[in-house]
Amino acid sequence: MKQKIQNIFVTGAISPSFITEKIAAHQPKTGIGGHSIFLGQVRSDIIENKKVIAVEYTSYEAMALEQMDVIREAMIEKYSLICMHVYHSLGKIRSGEICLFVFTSAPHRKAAIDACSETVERLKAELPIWGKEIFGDGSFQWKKNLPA
Amino acid sequence: MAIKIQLYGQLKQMAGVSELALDVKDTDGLKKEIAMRFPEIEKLTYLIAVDRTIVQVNTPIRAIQELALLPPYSGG
Repeated sequence: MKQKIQNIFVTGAISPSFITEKIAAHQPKTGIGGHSIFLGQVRSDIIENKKVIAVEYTSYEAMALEQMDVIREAMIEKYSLICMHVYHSLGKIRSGEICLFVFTSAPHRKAAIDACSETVERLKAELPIWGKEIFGDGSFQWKKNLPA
Repeated sequence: MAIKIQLYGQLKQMAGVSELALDVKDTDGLKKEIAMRFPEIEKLTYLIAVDRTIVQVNTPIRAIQELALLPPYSGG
């Protein structure tokens, strides 16, 4: 039976304690031999002498969750994952804070690592999420995703 | 009949509203209407989603459908 669509959105930054709790929750799943984790952190770029102090994320949430479900199903099938979790921040995230947490688990390391990497690439390309880079002086520009 | 169209990201900022109501019959008609009302949006690349699926070819629109204009994604 297909599971209901999982929510991936978290308001505000993803805290290190949230991440450790999620890792600890996998202890009973003893079929897992490897986890792979990707953490996206807001980078303080300097653009035309102005420093990015935060990124404000918004999304077309209903569509993003449907698209993420398609990616999740594909990754579980392709890499025979035991489980997979994705969390993405919404709202204003300051530089240095975590805004993306991708966590894949499989019986062996290669599947976990490859699935994690492919999920990050696919979600950046396929989920309707937008980041607005906010500068120290209050001005902003719309973020553009670059290749890896 | 006016169709509700959701705007996101930079498009929402440029239009100054999160939703438009336009009298359009298909996605080509929608693009024309946007070009006429918001020439600055027309200069950007954007995608049209009908019922949460991107459509690349001209597609008829019915009032009960969920329409959205999406600028290039920049999540992650």
